[in-house]
Amino acid sequence: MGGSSLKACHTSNRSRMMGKGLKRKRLDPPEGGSVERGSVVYESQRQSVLDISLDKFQHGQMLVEPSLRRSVLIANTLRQIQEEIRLEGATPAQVRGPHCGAPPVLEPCPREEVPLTRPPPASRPQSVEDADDDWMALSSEEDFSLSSAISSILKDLDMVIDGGSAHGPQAPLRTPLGSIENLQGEAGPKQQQQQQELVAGAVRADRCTEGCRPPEAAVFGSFEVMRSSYLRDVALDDLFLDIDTSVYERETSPQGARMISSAAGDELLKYLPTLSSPASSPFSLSQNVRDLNELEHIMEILVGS
Amino acid sequence: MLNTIQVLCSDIASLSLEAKQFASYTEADIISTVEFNQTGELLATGDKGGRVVIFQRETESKNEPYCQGEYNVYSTFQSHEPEFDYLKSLEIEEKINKIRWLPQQNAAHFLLSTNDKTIKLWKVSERDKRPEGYNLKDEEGRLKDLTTVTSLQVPVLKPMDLMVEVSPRRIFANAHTYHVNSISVNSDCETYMSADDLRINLWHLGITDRSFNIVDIKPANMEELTEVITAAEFHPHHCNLFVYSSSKGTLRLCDMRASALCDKHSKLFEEPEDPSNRSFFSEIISSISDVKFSHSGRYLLTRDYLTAKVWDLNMENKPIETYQVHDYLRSKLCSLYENDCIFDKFECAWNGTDSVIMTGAYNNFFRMFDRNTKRDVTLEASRESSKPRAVLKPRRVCVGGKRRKDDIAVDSLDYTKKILHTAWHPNENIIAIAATNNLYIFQDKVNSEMH
Repeated sequence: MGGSSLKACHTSNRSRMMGKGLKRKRLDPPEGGSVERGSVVYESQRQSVLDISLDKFQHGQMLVEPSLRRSVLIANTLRQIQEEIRLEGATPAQVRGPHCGAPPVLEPCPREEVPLTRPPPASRPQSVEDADDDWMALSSEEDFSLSSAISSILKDLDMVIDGGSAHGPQAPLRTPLGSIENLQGEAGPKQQQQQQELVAGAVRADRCTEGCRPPEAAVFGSFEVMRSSYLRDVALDDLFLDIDTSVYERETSPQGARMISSAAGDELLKYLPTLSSPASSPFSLSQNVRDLNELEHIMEILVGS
Repeated sequence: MLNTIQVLCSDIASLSLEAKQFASYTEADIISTVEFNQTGELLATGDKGGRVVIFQRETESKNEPYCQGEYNVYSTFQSHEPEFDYLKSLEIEEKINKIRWLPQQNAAHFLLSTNDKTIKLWKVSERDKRPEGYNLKDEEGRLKDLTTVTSLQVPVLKPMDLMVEVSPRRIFANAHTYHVNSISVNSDCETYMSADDLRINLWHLGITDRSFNIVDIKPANMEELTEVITAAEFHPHHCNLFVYSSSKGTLRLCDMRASALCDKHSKLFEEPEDPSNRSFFSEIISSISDVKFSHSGRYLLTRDYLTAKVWDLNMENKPIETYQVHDYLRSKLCSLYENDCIFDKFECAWNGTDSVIMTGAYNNFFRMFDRNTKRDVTLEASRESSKPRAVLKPRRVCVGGKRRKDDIAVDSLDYTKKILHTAWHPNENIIAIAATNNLYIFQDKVNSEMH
């Protein structure tokens, strides 16, 4: 890790950069000053920082001592570069899919501000073809993969350090049991502390425990949502394709109907063509309760007959 | 094992330098923390192998009234063992991240040591007498054959060789999901806090099965994480105040009287970024690696990658003093990023009167800054320059311009030799410097001009 001297690191880095066909005169900025933004030197520097950062992430899991601080700082560096590239206006908004897990800050701006922030053509390295290519490549797929990489890496790191406990066993920590023993984790005492506050009558208007500190339940909830959406995307469709439709028609009880997810509902509607309205939009969870009740009613009739 | 090199004004020779000069060391021998106790009589080090070594200062000798004795090994014990969390399939390193002494309240000494997850309270006590003449046990403690007991005797205490006993008193486990970076004993002497990357917990020293979370910066979604806690410390006099630093270069002062959960700070200390120095690494180098209250409690000392800063508790918008530790590295940041040195966590220390600050650097250099005279000095912790009674020669890193004799060029600095951990005796000019597996103890010569 830190074993190499600066010189060694210099050369290794340079050879890597040469391998990519990128002309780079100096890795570090000249003494006592930063490089002008938009210049070739600047962009090659940025490219190398980007390469190093991505490289660090790829090898981050192999570190003897995984450090959250280090990973967060690298992730922020990547985000900063990504944001810079985005502002330079080469990011087609449609490149990023809706499943891109990047923080809101990183979401592409749909407005037409792009040409305004684009650096003047004179300062762009049009003469340097390879650099330009790299730059363009960066702005499309790499940019997309970057944001998802950052988020997935942070999550992975959480798994490494945390052992994934925040997602699973640790989520429902705020149980009465948790407050008795420290062995159940740190959230128990917190809950107890909140209880104590209540007992002491120290309920402060400015600090709603639900609002200021997302309780683990909320965290858990968000993971639940993620999990279910994941299931809907991947598993449920396949699952329902294999199901004999007669089962639905015969055995789906009203309770079953209430529990079905959107995909299941979709499937169901397919096999109940007469029931779907002409404007049969996908049956979603957000649809109102009346529809569900209606469906339940029809199901009752079907099952009953 | 740990090597101690001492430079004292006395004639007492330090450890045999020649013999150990090329002694190899393992990763486990690397010192990971150094801490004096409240009187300065004891000095504890922790290493990556989970061991704690306690040094005790010899009492002043009558022959040499001006010189106090050197520090000798007092006790060594294994504080933490490598563990494996089978449920989470995680290895837990034994490395000692921090040691903190409790104020002494009786003949025994107590200290807290922590690795990434578990904090332990240790009792260090001396025994120079032992009971003899039990009725039912023999000298080795085995039960006697009762048929041989024919008369009753009164056990007596007999003097014996001084023995230092270290025993674990409390184990504070299972409260930290992330890596513990700081522990700090409160001035009430009853509670302490422990900080990891995302949370700070408050403990009672006597209760191991319960702690109170007082700060939690973990976002609901880990993908939104942009900031971590890097260090935390209690105010030296006000038991309700504590400060914690972040990877974004901010300091938050919290008052536990304002609310039990201190997610909302009372004061936020932050310096706006200098646009002329902006680079890709601005955030990384502004990340605070250590924060220390001055002994007076009025000031805060922070260390980031390139500077040490002194903050006045009454001024939040900028530090009152900024000291450049190794500004010549500013043009090397990209390389330092690539070889991960930029993530090194340098610590910092105040002297007993809060007039001088000290922090480490590369090439086994450490820096001292006199706040009053604004003089600064670079010193080197090396075997060559650390012969007993030798006076340390100031070192100089050549930055451009003409190079003087004995100057060292920036490119010749050894980045594997870094001084991350230093400690200053609470009221005397004695400093302890951890350089990889070596502990250097330097003492100001009487009436000398070390700084």
